[in-house]
Amino acid sequence: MPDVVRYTARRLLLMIPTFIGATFLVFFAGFALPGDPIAALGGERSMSESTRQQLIERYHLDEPVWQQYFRYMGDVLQGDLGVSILRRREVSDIFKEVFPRTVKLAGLAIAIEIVMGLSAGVLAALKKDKFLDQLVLVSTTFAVAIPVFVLGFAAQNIFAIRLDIFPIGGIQDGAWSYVLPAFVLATLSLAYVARLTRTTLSESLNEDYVQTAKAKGLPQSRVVGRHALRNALIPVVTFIGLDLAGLLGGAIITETVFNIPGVGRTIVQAIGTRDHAIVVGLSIAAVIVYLVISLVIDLFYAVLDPRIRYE
Amino acid sequence: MEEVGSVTVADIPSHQQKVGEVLLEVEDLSVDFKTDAGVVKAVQSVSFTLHAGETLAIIGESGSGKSVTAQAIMGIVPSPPGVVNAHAIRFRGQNLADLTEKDRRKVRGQEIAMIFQDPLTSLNPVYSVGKQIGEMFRVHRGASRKEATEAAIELMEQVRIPEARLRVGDYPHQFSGGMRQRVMIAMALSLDPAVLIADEPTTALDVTVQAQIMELLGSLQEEHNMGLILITHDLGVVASVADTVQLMYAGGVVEKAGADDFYEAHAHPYAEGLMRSIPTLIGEDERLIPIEGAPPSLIRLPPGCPFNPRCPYVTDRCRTEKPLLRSIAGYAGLVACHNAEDVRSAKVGGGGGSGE
Amino acid sequence: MSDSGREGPESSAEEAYREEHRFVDEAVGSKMTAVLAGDFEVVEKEAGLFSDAWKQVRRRKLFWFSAVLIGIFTLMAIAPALFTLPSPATHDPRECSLRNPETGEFQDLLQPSSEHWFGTDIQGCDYYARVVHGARVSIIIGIGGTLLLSFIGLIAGGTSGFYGGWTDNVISRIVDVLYAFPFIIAAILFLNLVAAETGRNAWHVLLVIGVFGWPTLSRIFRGAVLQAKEKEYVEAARALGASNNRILFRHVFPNAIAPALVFAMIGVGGIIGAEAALSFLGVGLQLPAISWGLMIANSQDRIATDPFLIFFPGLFLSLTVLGFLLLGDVVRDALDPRNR
Ligand SMILES: Nc1ncnc2c1ncn2[C@@H]1O[C@H](COP(=O)(O)OP(=O)(O)O)[C@@H](O)[C@H]1O
Ligand SMILES: [Mg+2]
Repeated sequence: MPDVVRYTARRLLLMIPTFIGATFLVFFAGFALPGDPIAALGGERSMSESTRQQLIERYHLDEPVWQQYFRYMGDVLQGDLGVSILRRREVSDIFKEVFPRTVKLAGLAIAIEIVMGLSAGVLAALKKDKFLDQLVLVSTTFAVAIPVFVLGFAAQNIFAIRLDIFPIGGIQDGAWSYVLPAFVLATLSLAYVARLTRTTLSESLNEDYVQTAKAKGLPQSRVVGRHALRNALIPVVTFIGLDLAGLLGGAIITETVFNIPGVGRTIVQAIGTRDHAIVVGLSIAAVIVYLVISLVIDLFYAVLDPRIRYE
Repeated sequence: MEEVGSVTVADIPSHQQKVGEVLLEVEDLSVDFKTDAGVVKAVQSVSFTLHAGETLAIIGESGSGKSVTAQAIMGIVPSPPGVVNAHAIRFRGQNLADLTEKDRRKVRGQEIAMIFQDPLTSLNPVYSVGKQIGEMFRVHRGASRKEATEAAIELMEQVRIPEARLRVGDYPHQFSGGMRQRVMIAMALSLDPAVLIADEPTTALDVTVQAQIMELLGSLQEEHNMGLILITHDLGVVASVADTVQLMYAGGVVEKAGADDFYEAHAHPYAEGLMRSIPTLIGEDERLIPIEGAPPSLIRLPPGCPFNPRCPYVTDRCRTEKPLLRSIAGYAGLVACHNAEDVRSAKVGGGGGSGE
Repeated sequence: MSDSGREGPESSAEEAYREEHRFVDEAVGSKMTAVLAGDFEVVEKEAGLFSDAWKQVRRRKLFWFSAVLIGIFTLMAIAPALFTLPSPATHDPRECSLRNPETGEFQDLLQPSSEHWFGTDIQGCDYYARVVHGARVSIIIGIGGTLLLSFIGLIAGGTSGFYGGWTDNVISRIVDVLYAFPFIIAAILFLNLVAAETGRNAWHVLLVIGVFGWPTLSRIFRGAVLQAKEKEYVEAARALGASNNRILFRHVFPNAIAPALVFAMIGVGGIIGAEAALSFLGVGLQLPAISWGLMIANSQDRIATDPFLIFFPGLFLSLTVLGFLLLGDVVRDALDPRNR
């Protein structure tokens, strides 16, 4: 147990500089966006010099950037992501509204990835160099070569417009609205999971411990499932976890193509309207989500691979 | 070479006293690997018999087909690329090839067990040793988790792993090399197999540990009256434990004899070269004399005797005609060499003593 | 050691993921790279590692297929006139007309026909000419961006792996920061900063991609350098008193370069996709620039009525990415010692 504690503590410590660096970058880039923040605060109306001065003081805009940063991060750690003057709303409120949509989209995509990617990868590894394997290789290569937004439009055209199975976009149809976007979002990772599983499984099938398992007289299903696959899955699970972490930060392109008002699309729109508070607030939330999940993955990784715990 | 298929160790006159029941008969076993580069003839026409309580040592340098022979007996040759051909591999008279996969699995692990060269890579890194040993009971005996763990602890004690109860939940990487090999042995012996194949069980271990493992294997064999196939390229080990020796070169058997006969008077030039290359066997600080040249490609074997490019006794006949295993005057073993008589007479008496 | 120094299968998955995250968000497709690129062992470069690889590559149909694809699109980038020449319509992508040339009446866009092979867009421009001219930006940014990020990544990863110590620590932390900062968001934010007033051109996009795109290559190269450093011939050179620089450039570098090279090849495809994605999101190139991503963005509302507006640039884009992807794939197979 103490090993696990030590391991966790080390991971956490290593995360601190990453956290500060990444959030500072976001903060800096976000507030350096073009457009006069004070004018924005005043609602884009012309304002008197004294109002202006008061706004500057109120929002501490006269302080050096790093001081503003620490002030802001102090708030963030208390759950306050700032206020969008344009939308007259707390950014944390907006986050609470849009994040669940991104979670649904990403969650569904990950589920598709796991079911289809894993089975394709396992089949390919077991039938290495046979037709099925070639099929997986070829189709994953194409899946990777087609940019997501092209794929998204193709899917819209075929499944929403021509076949009229799915809504073309938006979230009016509840969970059903997320299915097509989730497939599009999942395609790339699915291809990757399939290939990664194929590689790691066919490698672990050649490991000595698989020979041992066979020599123990275990049934083929157990040799493959309990011994080879269990090891092969370690990198795959890590990948899927990190993928989830990234997608939760906003599946920007898919959300844009399918008009899903999630985290990513909201950020992009806010950049368009020069709503700095939203851009910075949501981006920092995305970074935090990413870091937290990757920490969880790291810990989970130690559960999956006992060797890591005692390095 | 096919016609020697029926020659078995049992035919060798000087064979040891403690012959028990016949456990394993391998007749005319060949294994090919179909690779991109060509067909690798890994094993060619290998035949032998193993009795209860007998230790058969298969020796030969790396790549000579020892492990593949073992895999073929276990029925775990990777296929593709491997193709196994045998006249018969019989366990207690039952030809294993006739069994269904399900019945074959009952033999594998329960009746014929195997341990491997590198215990670290041969144990699954993500399961505790207790779980891996216990798996034998879970799968083959339908034991409960708890029973399996208890059985694992008992076995770990049998192979003398200290504090077995405390360590049963530990993972392979937490053990030393010697302890890992003990775990492998415990796992292999868990269901009391009649035959144990040990494929270079000590090669990956420290010298100090090697003797302990060999001793453990020896005493367990005696206890259970097992047939032991000991694969090794360490002739020192062979001298102390083997009853019978089978020497392999380039996939084929080039000499087989009772261990004592072999040490006293081997008849193949390759055996002679090998014996000379073992300083520890001969004594103090003698220089190691390696056999010149490299083993041949198993894809393009030289015509005639596969050893002919490296052989000091080579004659024209060796380059065209492949020698078969045969007995020669004044030697109790079998040897596959056209010039075995010359090799014997060239030897000055007492070239290689026994290792003890 | 830093967390980025972990070895084993996990690091390849992580690299893979990272790589995806770099160029990609969910956008573009080179996330395989790391398993493709980062996965294989560094072996001592026998005299003929690369010439052997070439011999092997030459025999593969897939290589020639990818070479032809890349050749076509590179030529298209250099000399679009060659491709527009046989087209009966105008060869100038900016010579557009909303009027019917015969009747002089205003007309909506034209569907693909023998006159306008790919139809015309909503501004009446010949779409074939536009799609052909779109290759230039993609190729420039793809290759230029890769060169830039390789340059930065090789220096960072090489220094990090070879010298270790605090240099390694600092660089590894920077890499971590960039990983935690999603590439698309980074690109969006910084492209908005860069040239907010003057408008963005290909160079700005290239610059941002290079500056934010290097960490994965750096990690891959660092790992390879660490491996190469351990090899006997490096020890030998050190024992013979060779200087650090000599060891780095004569012994370590040539042996560690293979995975980075493969990554870069596949990366070209990834960056081409990234540029298109950024332009599509409205933060990359801006009109009047001609880019496949922009064409697709500007045709979004026509998806139901005129899908060819998205299909043609999408097809060209995918084929270009595919070309580089396959090339990397084939080269990886050839350089991977396990395949020999
Ligand atoms: N799975 C395989 N595929 C191809 N060739 C193999 C395979 N396994 C073993 N071989 C070849 O068979 C020959 C004999 O190998 P092996 O029995 O392992 O030798 P050793 O006597 O050292 O145990 C070697 O040349 C080896 O390359
Ligand atoms: Mg072997």
